[in-house]
Amino acid sequence: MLELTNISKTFNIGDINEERLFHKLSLKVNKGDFICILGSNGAGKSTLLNIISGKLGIDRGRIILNNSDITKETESLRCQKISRIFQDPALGTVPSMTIRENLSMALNKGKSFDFSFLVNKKNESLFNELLKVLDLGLEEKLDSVVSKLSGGQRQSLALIMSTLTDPNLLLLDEHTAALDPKTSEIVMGITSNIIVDKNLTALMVTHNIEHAIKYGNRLIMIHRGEVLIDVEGEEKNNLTKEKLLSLFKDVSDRSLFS
Amino acid sequence: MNDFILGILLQGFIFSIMVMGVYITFRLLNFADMSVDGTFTLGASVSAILITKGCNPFVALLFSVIAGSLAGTLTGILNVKLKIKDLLSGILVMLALYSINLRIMGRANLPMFNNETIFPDSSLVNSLFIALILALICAVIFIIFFKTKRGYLLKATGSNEGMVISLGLNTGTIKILGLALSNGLVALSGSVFAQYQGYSDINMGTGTMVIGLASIIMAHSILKNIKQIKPSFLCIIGAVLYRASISLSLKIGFNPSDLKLVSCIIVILALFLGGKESSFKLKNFQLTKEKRQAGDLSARAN
Amino acid sequence: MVGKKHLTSLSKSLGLISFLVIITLFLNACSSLSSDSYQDAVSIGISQIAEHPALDSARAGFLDALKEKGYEEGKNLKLDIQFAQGDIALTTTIAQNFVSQKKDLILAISTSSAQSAHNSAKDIPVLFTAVTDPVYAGLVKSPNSPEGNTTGTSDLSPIAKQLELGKTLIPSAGKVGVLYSTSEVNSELQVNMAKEAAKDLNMTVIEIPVTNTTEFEPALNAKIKDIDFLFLPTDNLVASNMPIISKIAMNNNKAIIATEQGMVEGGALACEGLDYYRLGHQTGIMAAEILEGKNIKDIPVSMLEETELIINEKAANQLGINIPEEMIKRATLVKGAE
Repeated sequence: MLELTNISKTFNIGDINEERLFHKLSLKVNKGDFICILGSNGAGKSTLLNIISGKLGIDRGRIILNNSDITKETESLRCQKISRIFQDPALGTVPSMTIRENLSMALNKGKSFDFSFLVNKKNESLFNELLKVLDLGLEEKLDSVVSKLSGGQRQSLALIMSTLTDPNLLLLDEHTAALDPKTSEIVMGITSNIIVDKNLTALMVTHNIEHAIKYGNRLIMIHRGEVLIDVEGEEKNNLTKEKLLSLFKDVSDRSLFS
Repeated sequence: MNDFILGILLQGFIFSIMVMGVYITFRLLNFADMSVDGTFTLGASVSAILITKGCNPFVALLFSVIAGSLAGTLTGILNVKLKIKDLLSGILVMLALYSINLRIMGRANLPMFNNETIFPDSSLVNSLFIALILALICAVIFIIFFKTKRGYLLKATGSNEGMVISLGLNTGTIKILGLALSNGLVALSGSVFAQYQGYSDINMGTGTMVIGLASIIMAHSILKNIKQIKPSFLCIIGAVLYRASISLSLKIGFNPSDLKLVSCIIVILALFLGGKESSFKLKNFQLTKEKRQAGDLSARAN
Repeated sequence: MVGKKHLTSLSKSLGLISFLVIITLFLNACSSLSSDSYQDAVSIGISQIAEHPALDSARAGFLDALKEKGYEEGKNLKLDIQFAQGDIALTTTIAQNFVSQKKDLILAISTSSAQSAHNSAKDIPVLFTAVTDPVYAGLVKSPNSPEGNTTGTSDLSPIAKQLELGKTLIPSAGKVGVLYSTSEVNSELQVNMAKEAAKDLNMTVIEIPVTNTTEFEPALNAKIKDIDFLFLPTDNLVASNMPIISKIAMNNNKAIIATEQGMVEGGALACEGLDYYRLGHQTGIMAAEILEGKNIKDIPVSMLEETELIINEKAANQLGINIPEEMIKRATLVKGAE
């Protein structure tokens, strides 16, 4: 589904602060993959997502999504096929609008935003169904303004909105990091259900090792701009926290000497 | 006394059209459009020159709206395509409009005393009626537009630009549309006001932005607790309130220049209180609130 | 938490203030109605665009003339003086208020105030003063037959006379710099008149337009060296900025010929001045006639016949200009600010 080939990205070229983050990074993501991305701070996790979504440009390399080359496409153009959820719950929805209005906007993605009315009674039952699944009581709050919801509720709503029109790729950027542990679990559960039900291809950046082990079919660890660990299938299923940490130690020690 | 109140309402309704325009940029789009001082006069000068040349005053209104929209588009292009900051784009257009308005009128002041305007006689009641109809038409168009998908897109752009991008859309064109719409309204207001006072003058737009913002904040602070009030009616009420406070102060004997100071203070408050949802102070407050409410979420799930 | 409380209480107080404003509005409006009706008092509304010496003198002259004719404030005259501080929209509000208060007569000082009054007060006589060209401003059809409810006095300065004065005092002058505000229609007219008059005197006009106070310095500095003397038409913006204008002119050793006394007192060398006090006085006489029953349509627009030669001796000395004896004899000498 997604193929990154020989991506190079250097920050502050020509400056004292020049930092070469990615050098010939390649990654292949298959359709239906749910990849958890781990890594230390500054390793390049969020930068990777930014590069894929188009928020950041690259110096060299190619990005191919669903067999078309999107390397030169603008962020908004890519967003027609890629959905993204951010760590800050305020970013995934329009806070000044109601849940109903937000869902209506998301439903219209890909279609023309013309002079017809946005809110349509016909969509009411659809919205009810979508929200019931979350089991958060949001279906009774369709008229509530989103800014009045809690962070967890907003992220859940953002998840629904971003997957409403079945994106080719879903990017999750530490989307539970700003939530408290209990809420974090709930939202992760919802995330996993949606991805599995719709058979979406997803990349999830997380700091939470338990989540990385529990969810997804593939796990990647990035260190200093390189993919050091890439496990999937059986190997991933058998991972434990200890195994993962020792793997990391091996690999990062090696890389120190390379 | 009756006339006194009628005069306030009349000026209020005329200015309310401008306030609706300012609401669109400052409040909805979160774009500080400084060009309105120039666009108000633009509407006036276009109508004045056309009317003195014999044009139908209602047709003149239409041309003023078009002129205003073009000016707004220019501000938008400066900001979106040339990447000039919003404040500066507006100021540049405002400066340019000074010269343009002088050229349009051919002089600094153009009287229409001998021409037909949309106000057929000097009867306050008739004039009030006409102004009210115009204001209501604008209000209705305002309400309908912001129920449409495009209208929502405009609101979303001001509230959370990232959201619009994630919908796969270009925020640039939307901003330009918003600016065109807003300045069209402001120019319309200027045209009506010029026809009301009987002449167009190069200086008549000075202070338009401050009047608009002050009107919005006055209405907002009084009507805060009435939830379902439509923004366009908020603008009408605010405009009337503002004119009322000016007329009142003149009656009491306040120096008009002190009034401008007070208006400025009100505007500073407006900008402080009405900031974006994701502005620094409010954002921090949100996260604290979430942590408290997170308890709700988990309790519910269990 | 504290932040939110603050916001709510701030908004609440704003709301309260606005509410009080409305209440007081009603009360005040009601009270003024009753106080207006003391016996036989004539109520006159004076609308002045801004405060500066010439306009203030005109107002003083107007009131003195009324006093001479028996109308005195506190006795049988109720005055309402409003300044618009340069704000056009305010002139309309002021005019509107005068109309709603049913004034017996309105005096409008300066063009914008006059235009707003003319437009709003269809049934109240409007007298203007300090308006340069009332026909151009749309106030009257022609000076001799106003044909409306508006008439008054014009302060059109005899531009030719001023330039002649300049040429007399500085015989070698060939280039005259005319400094004016682009926002004032009266100034445009005078600039054009200056161009015509200059031709007859073998001089050329160099225009120095400005749009606001801050532009005086750069605009003048750019052109001051190219001109032989500076001419100031009757222009409100210019009149309000004499200090900077005379400073730059003096630093460059250029004389200023002006059009009114206030300017000469502010540093200009000389002018064939219109006495604004007398202009206002003339208008006051008109007012008395109207109050006595004369139809405003029968009162043509008038101007002052004579001008007064006003000379600033100190400026003359600083510039090293020798003023002919006979001029000094007939002139009014003023000290000037610096």
